Amino acid sequence: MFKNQEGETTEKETETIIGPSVKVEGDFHGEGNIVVEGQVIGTLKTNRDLRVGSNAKVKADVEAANVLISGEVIGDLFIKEKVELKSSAKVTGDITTKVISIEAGASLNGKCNCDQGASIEPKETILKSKPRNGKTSKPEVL
Amino acid sequence: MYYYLYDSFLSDKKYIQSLAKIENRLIDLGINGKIEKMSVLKSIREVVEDNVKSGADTIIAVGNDKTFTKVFPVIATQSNVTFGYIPMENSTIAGILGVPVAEKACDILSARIIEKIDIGKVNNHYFFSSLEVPHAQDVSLECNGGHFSISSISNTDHIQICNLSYTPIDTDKQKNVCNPKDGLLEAVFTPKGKGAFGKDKLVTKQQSIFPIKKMKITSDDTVSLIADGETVVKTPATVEVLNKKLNIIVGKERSF
Repeated sequence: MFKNQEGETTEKETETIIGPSVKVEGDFHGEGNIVVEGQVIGTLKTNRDLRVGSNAKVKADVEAANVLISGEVIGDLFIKEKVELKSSAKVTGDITTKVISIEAGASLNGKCNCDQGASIEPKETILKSKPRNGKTSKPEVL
Repeated sequence: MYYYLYDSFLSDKKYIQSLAKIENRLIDLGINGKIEKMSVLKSIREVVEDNVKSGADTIIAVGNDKTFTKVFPVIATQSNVTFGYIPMENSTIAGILGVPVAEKACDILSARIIEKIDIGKVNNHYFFSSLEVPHAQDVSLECNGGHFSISSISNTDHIQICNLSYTPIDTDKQKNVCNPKDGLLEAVFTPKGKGAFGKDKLVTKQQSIFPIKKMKITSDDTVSLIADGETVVKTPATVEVLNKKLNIIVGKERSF
């Protein structure tokens, strides 16, 4: 995934490119790989790989198979396989993934849940399964 | 059955010899058919529909890129009709389709390699290559039924909705950009920079590319959109791809 250096893109795999001159607002669901060099506000989802460039600003909850971050992300990340934070990355939010790699110099403010054996569920499923007010979901026995 | 539609400018004397060569070549190849010249007295739609009813299954536009963009929307509305093109001068569209100029195009028609390609639709108009938004100020694109919108941060980007574009796109980034067989249109945002002598130039290295099937283009004030360099459509405009809508004869040297 994204084996080339910063600023280059993998030919034939990249499908959506959000360049530095563009802003996307709302629920963005891509079909293939996504490269973000501009601004995204809302939610950002793909079943494939995501790369956040060094000048990118993402204020969104993110779901992807793999993510490589060099820029700024404010929001929770639900990544099925691997998260890679480069030295210029600034992440504010919780990360849930199987594998994480953090370069020296990267900034992470939030919880980090890494479990190689777990299957990563999207945010909505996790919220529905959590018990409310500390009570179990079983009915009370009268 | 073949039907040839000549553009009106071919009445000029300088085209007589070329047209004679073309007609002879068509006879040699056995694909000659009815010839009709465009005129102001009869619309292209009427002419095409009459000939389709008479049994024409292959309509060939003879002229230039303007001829092509005038005729293909009519062909796209017909079922089981194949479209062909004989360019009489150097043509960008012909280059993309792999069709040479003048009588050499007849051999391409005879070989009859047919591709089903996508075309774009903006409001009630069809476009073959791209839809341009000359002024990005206050223009936004709403996609996926309004779930997200795309806008230019600086309001100066050059915006194109491409099916098969021949204006500069950084194809080093994506080999599959503007493929007319992928069932998608590409919304391409290209920022402008300053070139030599202070002229605006497109910075293709910083392009944004969004594959989309349908979108709505809105703006605070009414903005003119230009389809295929010819037709002007006003915002708000709904743009969508019509997947494999046009059957067209192409050459081996086509770019897709």
